[in-house]
Amino acid sequence: MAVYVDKELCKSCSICVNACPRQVFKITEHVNKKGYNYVEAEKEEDCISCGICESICPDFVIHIEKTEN
Amino acid sequence: MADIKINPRRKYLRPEKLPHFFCSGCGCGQVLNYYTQALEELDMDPEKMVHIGGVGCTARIPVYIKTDMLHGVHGRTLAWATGIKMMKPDLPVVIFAGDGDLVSIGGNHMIQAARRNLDVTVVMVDNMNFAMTGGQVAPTTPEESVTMTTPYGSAEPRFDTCRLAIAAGATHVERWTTADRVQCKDAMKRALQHKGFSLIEIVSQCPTHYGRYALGTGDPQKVIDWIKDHTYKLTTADSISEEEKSGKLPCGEFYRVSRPIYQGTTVMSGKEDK
Ligand SMILES: Cc1ncc(C[n+]2csc(CCOP(=O)(O)OP(=O)(O)O)c2C)c(N)n1
Ligand code: SF4
Ligand code: SF4
Repeated sequence: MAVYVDKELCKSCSICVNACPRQVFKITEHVNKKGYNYVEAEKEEDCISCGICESICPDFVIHIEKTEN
Repeated sequence: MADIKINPRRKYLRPEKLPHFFCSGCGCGQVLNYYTQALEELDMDPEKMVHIGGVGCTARIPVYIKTDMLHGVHGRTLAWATGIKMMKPDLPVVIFAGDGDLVSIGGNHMIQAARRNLDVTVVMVDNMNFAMTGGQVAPTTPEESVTMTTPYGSAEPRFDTCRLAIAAGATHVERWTTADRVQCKDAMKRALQHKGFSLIEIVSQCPTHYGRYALGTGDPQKVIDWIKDHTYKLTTADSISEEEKSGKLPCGEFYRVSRPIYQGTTVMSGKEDK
């Protein structure tokens, strides 16, 4: 399992931060080329691969890679 | 850093156009996301379809899709769609229109196309105002809302676009909100498979204008929460009192029936030939 964030597309809206049931995401202090504080999967290890963030992000920033088991 | 893997639905989008122009947290981006999920689940190729946007923020959705696309005549999406359908009846046509585009300047096109049961999918992003031009009042703005052009609150009742479409003759009509990610995707899938006029209304957050003017917040999540508080689901309607429902929009699958689709006049469709 891995959480990928394409930081250059993030607009810092926090929709994923609010939607994640495990509080995986955090808006960082870092700024991307468009001037937005982008998110990071700060607690990636807590991710349960529900995929909510990937399906609701308005900017197609996130991808959750699920591992079969 | 390891290479990042991107959202697989980005295969439907034009890479050179990203990031898109929608504001931070705008519902238009979410609708585009749900739509690509619908395309993927139906295994439909947008390059074999036509997407049409009128004018406005919502109308820019097709601009980001790898598809043949028409964009830029306010309210006239259905006029274009009618022409395309007369010449290429089997070509799937999907329209993304704002509430202003579809029921204000384009209102007559909408009701006539619904009456004829033109075989198209219309996704109306209802952000409750004219957003691109700065947040003016629209026919879909809730009563008493402060907007750029109604500084003392709108005195007009709003359209229920879904009821209007059903009355006009549409054969598939649903309303959801951007908070209903699975329902939006499933509704668009049903629309893409429906033969006839489908209208999917998605009540959506415009944090930049409706949020700031009417709700006093530019926080997308607060606008989403407000929309959730001001809508209810048909499935739970029985357990909600009439008082609680007042001023709120119902959401759900309202109507899906089968009726002959519009194929032009007998002369145009060449029915008498042969
Ligand atoms: C014929 C014509 N009239 C007016 C305009 C100006 N105009 C551009 S965008 C827009 C508002 C669109 O609002 P809506 O359809 O609700 O879409 P939104 O931006 O809210 O997504 C208007 C009035 C125009 N471009 N063309
Ligand atoms: S939902 Fe998308 S754009 Fe918004 S903060 Fe999260 S990753 Fe960034
Ligand atoms: S003005 Fe409103 S509708 Fe237009 S992109 Fe910004 S948030 Fe979205």
